[in-house]
Amino acid sequence: MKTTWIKMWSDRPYSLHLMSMANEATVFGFKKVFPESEISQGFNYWENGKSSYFYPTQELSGTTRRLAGKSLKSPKFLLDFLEDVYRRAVHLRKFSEKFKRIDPKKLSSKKLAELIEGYSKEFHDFYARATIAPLLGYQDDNPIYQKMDELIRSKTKNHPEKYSDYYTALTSSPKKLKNNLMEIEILKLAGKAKGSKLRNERKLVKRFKKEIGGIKNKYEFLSFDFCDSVSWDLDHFADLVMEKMKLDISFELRRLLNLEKTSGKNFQKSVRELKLSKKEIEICTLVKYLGYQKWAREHEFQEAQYNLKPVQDELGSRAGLSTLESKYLLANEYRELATGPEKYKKLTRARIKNSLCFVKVDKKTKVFIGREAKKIFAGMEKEEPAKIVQTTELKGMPAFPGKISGKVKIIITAKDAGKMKKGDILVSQATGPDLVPAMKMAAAIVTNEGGITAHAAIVSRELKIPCIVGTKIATKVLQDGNLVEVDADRGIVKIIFAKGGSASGGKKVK
Amino acid sequence: MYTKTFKEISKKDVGIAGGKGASLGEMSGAGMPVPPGFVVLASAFDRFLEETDLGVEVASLLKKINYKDLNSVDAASYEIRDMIHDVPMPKDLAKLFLAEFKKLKSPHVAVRSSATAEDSSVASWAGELETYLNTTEKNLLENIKKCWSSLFTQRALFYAFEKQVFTKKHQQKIRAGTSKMKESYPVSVAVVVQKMVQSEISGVTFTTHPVTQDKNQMVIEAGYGLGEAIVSGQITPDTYIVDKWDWSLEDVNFSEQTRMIVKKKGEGVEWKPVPKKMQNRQKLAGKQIIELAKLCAKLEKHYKHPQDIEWALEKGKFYITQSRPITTLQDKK
Repeated sequence: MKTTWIKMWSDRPYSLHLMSMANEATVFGFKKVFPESEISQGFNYWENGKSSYFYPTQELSGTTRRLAGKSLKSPKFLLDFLEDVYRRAVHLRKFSEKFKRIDPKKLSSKKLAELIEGYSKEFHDFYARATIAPLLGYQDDNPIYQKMDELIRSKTKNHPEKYSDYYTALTSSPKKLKNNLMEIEILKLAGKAKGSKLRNERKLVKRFKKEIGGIKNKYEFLSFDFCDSVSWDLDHFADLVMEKMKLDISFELRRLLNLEKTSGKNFQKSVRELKLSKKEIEICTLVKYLGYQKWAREHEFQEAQYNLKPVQDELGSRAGLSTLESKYLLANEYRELATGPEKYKKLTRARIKNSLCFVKVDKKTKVFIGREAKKIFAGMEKEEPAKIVQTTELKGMPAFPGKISGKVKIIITAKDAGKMKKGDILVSQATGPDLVPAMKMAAAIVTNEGGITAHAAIVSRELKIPCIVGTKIATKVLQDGNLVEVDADRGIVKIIFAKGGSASGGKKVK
Repeated sequence: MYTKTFKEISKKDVGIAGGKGASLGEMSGAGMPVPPGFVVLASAFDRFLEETDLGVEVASLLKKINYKDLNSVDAASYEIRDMIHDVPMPKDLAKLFLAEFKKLKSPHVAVRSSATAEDSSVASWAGELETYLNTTEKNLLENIKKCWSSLFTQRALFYAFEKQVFTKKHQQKIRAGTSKMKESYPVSVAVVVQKMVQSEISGVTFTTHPVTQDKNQMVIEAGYGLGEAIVSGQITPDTYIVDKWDWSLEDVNFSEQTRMIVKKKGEGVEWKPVPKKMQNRQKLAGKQIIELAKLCAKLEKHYKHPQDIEWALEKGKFYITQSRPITTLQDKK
């Protein structure tokens, strides 16, 4: 029987070095910590520096099923596992911090190659376990999430409008993440700056150069693309500070500082109100920690990768490679790059353009390039995840005309309103008076339900912003950050660019 | 005088009965099929505030609000609403409201807020204040108080601010530190208590198409159950477009409906699934649509302005539960 392959994700900027390590850790290492794993092979394919990631459909779904089954039976197993993965992520980040204390320029090429190899080994240990993340966390239809969905649905049978409230309360982050810590520092700085009546970013940067620079150094890794670039500059941080200055800073600070307490309280309150049994509480806890650990782990790992970058860059530059090219080597090739760099200039360039890296149990990892890579890739039987809605266009009824594009923000309850920035497209199940403050910031409104006499329609006419109602599936197809065009003259929402989603902009629909 | 029945009220009474209350009175007088009811006039709320000394406190809390600071609005809102909930209803008012309730001879009533802004045609107050459906005698007084206090929810305060109901006069008074709620907050609230219609089908009519603004077109939206699901937009209703000149159906767009809001056993309302075989049906038959359209046209004619009408169908009879001017039409022609 021919193997069919399922796509984990596509079009991400991840490098060959990173993905070959991750793939090897999953195929070679994961089985050692989770013997029930069936995964025996996997591959990455690059086209112009964008990677797509595949595993055999059967092996992946079998493994996910076993993993989820075991976790549901014994939630402690998964919670311990997640905790262990997180510990290892922290360890990897701490390991990487030694790169910050050295000056790569002063080290020999051989030494640099050794550092990269050393890091790669540590990474393997970490990712062999972190594999659990793409297996469980990235798939909405895994049995744990299904169970959670069923549970909340049945508990809110008579109040379906409360589904999302409870779901959020039960799964919101139990602890502060690094982006929360960053926000706290920014709020504190905003508090300091508020008194000084600074009117624009430039003045702010000038006046608080040291403070903003400090925050940037500490947190810019959060915008690292895991490969070659960070996208947050001083102006970005200054913008954030300016934005916070408009808010009630002490309130926002309190909210963040009390995040653990609030999250715990909301969890307990929902448990009481929904009368959850011990077993049901365990399921909620699992989903909660799966979500939290995903980000907690990713931030550690992102920072570690970012710390490694100068080492790779330096070794690469000595061999005449660009910073991007210096990340398109297998872990064991850096040693060779240090002694005989000639062949890698051409090779890494070709790998960025088109390559396929194949990892299989008991086999040596192989990288194909150019026409060969394309041919092998074309010959693989690929399966799109089953329930993806392939549409890039939604239809509804226009409630107020106009045509505008902007970023999608899914706003289900007033609690989500904090996400809204002026000019975003508000996408909701249905709107109510609670959402009016958020609606006022919206460039356009799109709803699943409702007619042209409904609240969303009336308010959009009062605010004179384009509005499309009754699309039925907008909140399911669109994701936060998608760039869309709302054509409320014709009642059509078009996805222009699907950030974070698959190439088609599709998202799984139940 | 603290209450008036619908029959004693006309559109001139906006100041005491609010837009909603005056409109229901006016429609009753014009012979429209309005479920019977009475209005707790704004004077009752004023009396409540005065007698309980709440007015002074409310005025001082309102003074503290800085509308640019979300939390100051929030804080004032909480305090004001708490005060209103904590103070009991004056005995004579309680007695009066319960007596009027008994005259309606209906175990279930709808209790709705009716804002009495000085110029209520400017802003629609759509859904800004509270409504309590299927209220029983037991909770009548409580729900009336809740309607009163809904004038001070965070969003209502914002709405009032955004719609600029505060005139220069009010702002001066606020700055001068007035102790009268009436002088610092130019909106008050009456409460409509109306016999509850347990509608099988309900909906909204716009007598002028609100999107195309075509005056020849009337838009009717209809769904199963109580009208709240349509008004809030939580279900997608059928949409019918009627040509007002020859009473023909220009467009019928029906929509699957899987759940509806209905009366809950005892008190309040709840979501229920729509029976499978009804889910994919057109809600109103062509004949019913035209019957309703003609009824709504009468209202538009009566008011001499395009109307936004809420209606309900119970046991084959149409009722009008609310009518107000469409606030978002432009005079473009």
